[in-house]
Amino acid sequence: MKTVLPGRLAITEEELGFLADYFEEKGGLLVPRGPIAMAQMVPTAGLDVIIGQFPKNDTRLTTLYLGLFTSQTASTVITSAQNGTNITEATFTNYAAQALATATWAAQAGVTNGRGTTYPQVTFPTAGSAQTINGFFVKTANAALSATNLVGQANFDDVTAVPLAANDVVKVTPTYAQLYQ
Amino acid sequence: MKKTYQCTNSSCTLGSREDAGLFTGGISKDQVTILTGVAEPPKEDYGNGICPNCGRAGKEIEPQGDPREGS
Repeated sequence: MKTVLPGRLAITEEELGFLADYFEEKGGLLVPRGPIAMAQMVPTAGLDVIIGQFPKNDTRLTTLYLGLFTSQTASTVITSAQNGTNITEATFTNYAAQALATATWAAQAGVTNGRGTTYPQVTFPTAGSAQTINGFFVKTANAALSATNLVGQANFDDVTAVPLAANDVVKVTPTYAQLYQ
Repeated sequence: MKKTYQCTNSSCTLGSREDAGLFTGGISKDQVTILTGVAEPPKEDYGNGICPNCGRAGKEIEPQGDPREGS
C-alpha cells in the first residue's frame, strides 16, 4: 500500500514508519524529532572515579583504557546502578583494550552546552575472528572489568553495531564533555 | 588470562599516534600474506606476540591491577 503525502511523493508503509520514527509534522512540514543520540552512561562507580580525581585526592590516574563491548545493544548501555561486571568485553582474536594517556587528551574546547576534549583516533588490533561490537567503554586499569574499574560506557555515535569480520579493524575517536546543565 | 603484548613499532597504527598499542594473540599466517604479499611467510613472522597490525614482534607486558586499590 502506498500513502500519498499531499503534493509531495508516494511512499510505502515501511518508509512511512521510518519517517515517523525520526520526523514529525509541524505546519505541514516534516521536521526532525531531534538528534539521534547514542546511549551513554557513567554509572555510580564511574562517578566515584571522577569525584575521586576532583575534588578528592585519590591516586592520580595517568592512564585509562579504552575497550569494546559485545553486550547490551547498539543503542543501549548499562543503567546507573550497574557496573563493569554487567558488560561483556570483546574477545575477538588479537583484541586488547588500548591505553589512553591522560596527558594526550586535546585542549578543552566548546561543545554544545558545555566543554569537552577529544583523544586522537585509537586503532584496535586487526581482528583475527568475527564478533559484533556494540560500542566502547573506558576503564581505569588494563584488567578485567570489575565492580569498581568502569568509568563509562557508550554506543558508537551512529547507533550502529560493527559486525567485525577477520582482518577488519575498529577505530574509535573518544570524546569527553561536561555540560553546563 | 591471555598474555598482552605492546607493539613497540612507532610507525604502527595500533593504539593512537601517542601511545604504543596493545594486543593479545598475534598475527596469523593469512594476515601476514595480506600485509606483505608473501604467500608462504616464514614461521617466525606469525603467531603469538607478533603485532596483527604491522607484523613486527611485540613486547609482553605484565597484567595490571586497579591503581586505586592500593597494595
